[in-house]
Amino acid sequence: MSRSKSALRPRYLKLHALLVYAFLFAPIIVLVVFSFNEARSGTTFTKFSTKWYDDLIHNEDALRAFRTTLKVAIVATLVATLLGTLAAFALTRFQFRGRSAYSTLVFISLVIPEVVLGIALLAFFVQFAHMKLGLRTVILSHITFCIAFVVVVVKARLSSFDNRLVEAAADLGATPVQSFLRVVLPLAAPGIAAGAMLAFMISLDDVVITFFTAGPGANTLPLYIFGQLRVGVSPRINALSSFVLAFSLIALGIGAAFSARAAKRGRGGIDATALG
Amino acid sequence: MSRTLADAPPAPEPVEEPPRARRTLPEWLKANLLLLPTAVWFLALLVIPMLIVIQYSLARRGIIKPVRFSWSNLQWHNYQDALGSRFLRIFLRSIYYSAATTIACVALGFPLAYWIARFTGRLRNIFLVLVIIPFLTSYLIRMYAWQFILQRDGLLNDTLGALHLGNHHVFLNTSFAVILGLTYGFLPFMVLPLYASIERMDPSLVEASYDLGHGKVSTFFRVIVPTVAPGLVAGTLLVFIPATGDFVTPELLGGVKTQMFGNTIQDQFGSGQNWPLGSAMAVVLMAFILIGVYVYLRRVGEDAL
Amino acid sequence: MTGPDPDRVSMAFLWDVNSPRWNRRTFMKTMGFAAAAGFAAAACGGDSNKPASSGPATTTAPEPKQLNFYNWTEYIDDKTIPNFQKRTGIKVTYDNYASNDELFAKMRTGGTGYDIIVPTDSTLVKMKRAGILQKLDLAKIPNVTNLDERFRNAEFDPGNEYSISWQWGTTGIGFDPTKIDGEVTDWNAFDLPSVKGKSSFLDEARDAFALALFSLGRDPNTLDDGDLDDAKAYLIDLKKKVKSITSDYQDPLKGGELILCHAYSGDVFQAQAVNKKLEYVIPKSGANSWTDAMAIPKDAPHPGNAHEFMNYILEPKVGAALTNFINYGSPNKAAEPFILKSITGDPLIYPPPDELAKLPFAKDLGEDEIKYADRWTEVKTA
Repeated sequence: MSRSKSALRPRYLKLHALLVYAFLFAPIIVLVVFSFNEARSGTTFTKFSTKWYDDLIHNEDALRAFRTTLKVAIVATLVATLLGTLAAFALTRFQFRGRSAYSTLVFISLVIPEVVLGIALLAFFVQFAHMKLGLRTVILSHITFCIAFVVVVVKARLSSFDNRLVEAAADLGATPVQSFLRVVLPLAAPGIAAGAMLAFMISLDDVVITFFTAGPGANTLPLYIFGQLRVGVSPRINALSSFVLAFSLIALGIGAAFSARAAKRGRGGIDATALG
Repeated sequence: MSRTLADAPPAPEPVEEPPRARRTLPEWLKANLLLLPTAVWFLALLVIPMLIVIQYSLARRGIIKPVRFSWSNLQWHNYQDALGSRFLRIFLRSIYYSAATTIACVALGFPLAYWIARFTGRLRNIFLVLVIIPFLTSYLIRMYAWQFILQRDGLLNDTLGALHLGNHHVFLNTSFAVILGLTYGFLPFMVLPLYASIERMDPSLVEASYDLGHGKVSTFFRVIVPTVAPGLVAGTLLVFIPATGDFVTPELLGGVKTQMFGNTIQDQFGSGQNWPLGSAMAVVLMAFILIGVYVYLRRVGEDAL
Repeated sequence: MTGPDPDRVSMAFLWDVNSPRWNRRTFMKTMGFAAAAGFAAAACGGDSNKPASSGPATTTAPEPKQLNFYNWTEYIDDKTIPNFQKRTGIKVTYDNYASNDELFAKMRTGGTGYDIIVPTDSTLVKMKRAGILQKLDLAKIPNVTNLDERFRNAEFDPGNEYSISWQWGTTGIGFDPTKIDGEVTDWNAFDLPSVKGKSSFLDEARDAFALALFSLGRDPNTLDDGDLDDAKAYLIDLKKKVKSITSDYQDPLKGGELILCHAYSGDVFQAQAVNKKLEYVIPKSGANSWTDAMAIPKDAPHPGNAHEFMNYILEPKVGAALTNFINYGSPNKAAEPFILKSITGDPLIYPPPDELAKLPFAKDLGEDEIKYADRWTEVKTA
């Protein structure tokens, strides 16, 4: 962990970072604390208890919703990252007719209000495609709104990409595929990882579009929570959220361990990919 | 500026290497092949739904069927209604909230992304992941937690009281609460793209700038800003655009005077029972934002994405 | 699709407060009849422990043993579904929604695959009108006679053509008396100085207008433009006094951020479990009742199983268990002997007959409901 000696990182940057993290984690701390509240209230803490966690492991509905959510988020992230990266690559590397049409599509998917996209997708699935609502329709919808986030982030990363590197690789005898894998991809990796993280995040958390495109048995966790919130935040919901948080942390820990091992094997430089 | 490189006329392709005499595909074909999957995807799941929305926006409302469309009787007045002064005020409010949110996100996110990018290896990954960890829990739950923090007897007033700054401030159900909630909700969308472009910056360039006698401010604008500009542009777009359509935050943290355009649209599909008007509003919103985005991108010198 | 049909008018009298025919005696008579019918049905074997064979055969064509049930969250006894599955072998998928508007928007587009949904009466009538529900085959639901007369011929669905009520309650005021100076007995409690800026009203067009119309002493189902404009002005004025327009008032009410809320009875009873200081009142000048009712979408894949489930829910003990678990009023008259005395004896859950008279259901206004919808948009955006 070497730190650059630049004078551009004075102490106040560190303080700023600390404050921003405090801002980001303030509500998280609240919800974790309240998940140990004995009373059935999200507003006044009475007594420490782990009963809501006991309750949770017996709550088949919640666990099923959690598994569904993971399934959706993982598939949606993988597909959206792949499609989005290819698209971003094409949009940065090549000049061609119709580029702006593609960009417009990307922006439309960002700007379209959720309820409108939700209803429009529902109409599309049911009236045009004659598909049965279910997990499939949810995943298709999620990929649709995830792609744009990947495109925009990867594009930003690639946009000042130096073509001379590819030329240099070619001069050294690399095939296009090799130069893509060895030169372009590692350079784009942090952008791809960042885009994938965003895609995962929004898929994991979507309520509105999921509501409209989900069929029987495709209840995701955000839908489950949304339903529960009608009666206010309960420690049960807080416990559930804390559980998801803990699960993500463990998954990330395992991911980090693997990436550390990969880095040791000499594939350093793309450490950030392990995060996606 | 380095980022214009990519948009420069195509560089000679490496595949023209003689030993592997392979026919190269023309640029436009390669680009379209790469874009094909996304294009097909968007055509089916975005363009067609969009056309459905446009169709709705020109239909008559109905109680029995939500929309009654007929080619011979297009309801252009829906657009007139959507642009009416009543909704215009709310539209402007949404723009104001989104702009304030974007500025707050830059102010909070830029130094943070900069700070993270200067670390290497595992520490950097950890700090980066810490930014999105809170977002792995439901947005709704986090907004409820903010309610708890901001309410009259909440944590924020308690803390301010302890610091002798008074503990009777009203935070919840105000514009402040909505902008705070939006900033909280969209911060990673600023930090991650910024990080991705700052990370690419060569620290030696900064050092060189100092060596050449440039001051902090000069170095910031000559070296740092040009490098991170694409990330900044991307971040601004990812925050500003979705924020204009948000409706959950004003609903949970706002009050009677903080309705955003997203809420108004949402209402038309619910209690307002006017799908055509809601669709027209959505089309208007999208059109305005798209025009705004293109003007913005021209201004900052980015090509059309 | 049903327009306002002439037959319904006579039914309407039963619950129309202004109807001259309405009096305590008619009420007692109806109740008595319903009770008798209910007991008779109960005696005829509504015991929830009996095996499936005792239930009526509901399916003519073989239907997969599956039922997709779409209901509000935590709105069912833990045992209701497992017992049904055990008895019938029908596998139940239980999904949840959180808002009538969203449910309606989704069901309207069709093809959702659900067999039973439980909209609130005001949404149920919209669904009927939109033609997205199928008529019930009451021959397959013999237990329908267990329903209280009030729910057999209710405004929103006379003769149970499309729906079987699930639970019911009233729309009134939830408040914290320890934080309010003055009595809260009627809608004018919103004007109390100690309440200013700490109250909310419901984000539902018909409910909000009912508040205004009851307050102004007008017909809560009026179609008179003048009355509606007055109500609109009332609500725009009320908007200046309250903190928010919301249907998510439970947490703020429990935590003290809101001290007086236009609220559904059941929500306040649930909040009371956490904050004992909270009280609920049915306003003196009148308020609307609501009921959530089971219905079958037109394109339901398993309508036979849906009928069987409805009949099961109407069994006295099943219905009683449901109410004992969620603490709302039960439409199931035959279930009352099995319902906890603490519930049946609570005048706020089971209002005495004279009060019940002032608690009508919202009427189905047909296409004219647009008058409410448009004015509501004006209130929201004012």
